[in-house]
Amino acid sequence: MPEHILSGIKAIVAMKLRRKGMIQREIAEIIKSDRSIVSHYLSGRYPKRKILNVAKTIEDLPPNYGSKLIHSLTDDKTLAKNLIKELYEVKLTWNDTSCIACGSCLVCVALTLDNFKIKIDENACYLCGSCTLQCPTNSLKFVKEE
Amino acid sequence: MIEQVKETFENGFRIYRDGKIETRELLWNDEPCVGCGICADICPVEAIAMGPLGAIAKGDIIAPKLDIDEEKCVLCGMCASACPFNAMDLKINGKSIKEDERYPKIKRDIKISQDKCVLCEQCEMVCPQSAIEVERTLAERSKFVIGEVNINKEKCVLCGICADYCPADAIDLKYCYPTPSNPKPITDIEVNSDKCVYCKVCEFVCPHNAIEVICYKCPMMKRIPKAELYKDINGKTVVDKDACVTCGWCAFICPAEAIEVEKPFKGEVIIDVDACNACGACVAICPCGALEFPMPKDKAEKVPRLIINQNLCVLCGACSKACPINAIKVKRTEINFEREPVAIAWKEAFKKLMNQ
Repeated sequence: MPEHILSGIKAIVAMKLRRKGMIQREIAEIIKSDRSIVSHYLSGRYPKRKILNVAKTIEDLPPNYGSKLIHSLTDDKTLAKNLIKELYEVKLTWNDTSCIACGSCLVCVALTLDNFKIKIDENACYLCGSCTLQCPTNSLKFVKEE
Repeated sequence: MIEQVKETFENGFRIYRDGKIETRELLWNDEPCVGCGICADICPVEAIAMGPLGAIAKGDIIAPKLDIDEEKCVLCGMCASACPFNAMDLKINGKSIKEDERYPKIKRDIKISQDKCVLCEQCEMVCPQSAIEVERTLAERSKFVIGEVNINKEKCVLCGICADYCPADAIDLKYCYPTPSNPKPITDIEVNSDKCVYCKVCEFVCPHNAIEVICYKCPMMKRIPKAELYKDINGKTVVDKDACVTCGWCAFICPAEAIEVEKPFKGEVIIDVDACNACGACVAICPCGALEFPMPKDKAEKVPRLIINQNLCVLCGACSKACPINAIKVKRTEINFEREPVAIAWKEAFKKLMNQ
């Protein structure tokens, strides 16, 4: 089952990327699938409607909850990161006006706290959203990318 | 989620979080805590709850002055940073934020100028925390009180009139039980030079002109300048900065202006005297002893009226927290920072202490 749901998410992401004008080869690289499968996704032959409905429900979730779910579907962190980024079109941001520098978010190597400032290492961050759930002041958030 | 562990001691507790990246430890000590509740006011996650302060201060119950919910606490350290009384500390990777230059700190200090101090000991008497000790050594009494008393034993009848008049109780008569072999009840008279001030009263009152008193100092006193006299008074006034709450009582009464106290806040305490029901919780908790129910002048006055001496107050707000009917308000207009907060959220949090 998890594989099916993952396929559903991949299909939605593939369609989104297609609408952005990407070609199948580029899409295949991002969602880490064969080009033939991408072609299936885009033509709507696969996956089934039921699976797509589950994937659409995940798309409607708040990104910090959806991201946790997507990470649970696969062990490939880079894939999960790509899918979350394209599905929700979000970026992890830090709000310097509300952060109290409590260090609760320091559960992840991508974050460092120095002199009341949080630095996000975007390469190390897999958009898992754990930090956003830890933050007591909602200063770490997924924000829609412009 | 990294687990936070709370450990309770006899005199406080600690909340500990061992993350992969950093360790944090919040310590609270009941002893220096005055129950001001500044920590509870500033806490961004409302994790601090104050105990029944009035009852604790009055000694009705034994309980910690506050408690921190370790589930809510995020160990940000705002409480420790704002605590003016060193009752709280946050250690990040073992280092106290009180020593960290980047963390804000409220300034509070007392300085005693030993040069100006006249060693009067009055500050020691008024200090509500018994934090001041005046150690003074005086020159030998004999340096200033010196003379001689000559009793002419031939003329003296041992009547003891001089001893009755002596204001210094310095004349000793040797009494003994009269016996046939030793029939006199009084055998001798002596002057105790430790007590005698050579005031000449005995000389004046002796009906038999048997006493002659010479004071060596009296005619000379006028010639010894006062300043020189003070040279013989040595010592110093020591303050225990950990115990001192910088109430300023000592500085307020110091006759030599030798004490300088820097208080943590500026502002005033406003008492709603009509609402006050004189329970006494505020008087009991005040670390400065600045509140008082003076004896009513008017007998018709049923409830004693609470007064405050603003000069002796540190504006900590413990009275306001202890008052069961919110009859006391602490209005702070300024915080005396040693290091100001830099982060925006911290600035806002410290502002909360002023808008109450």
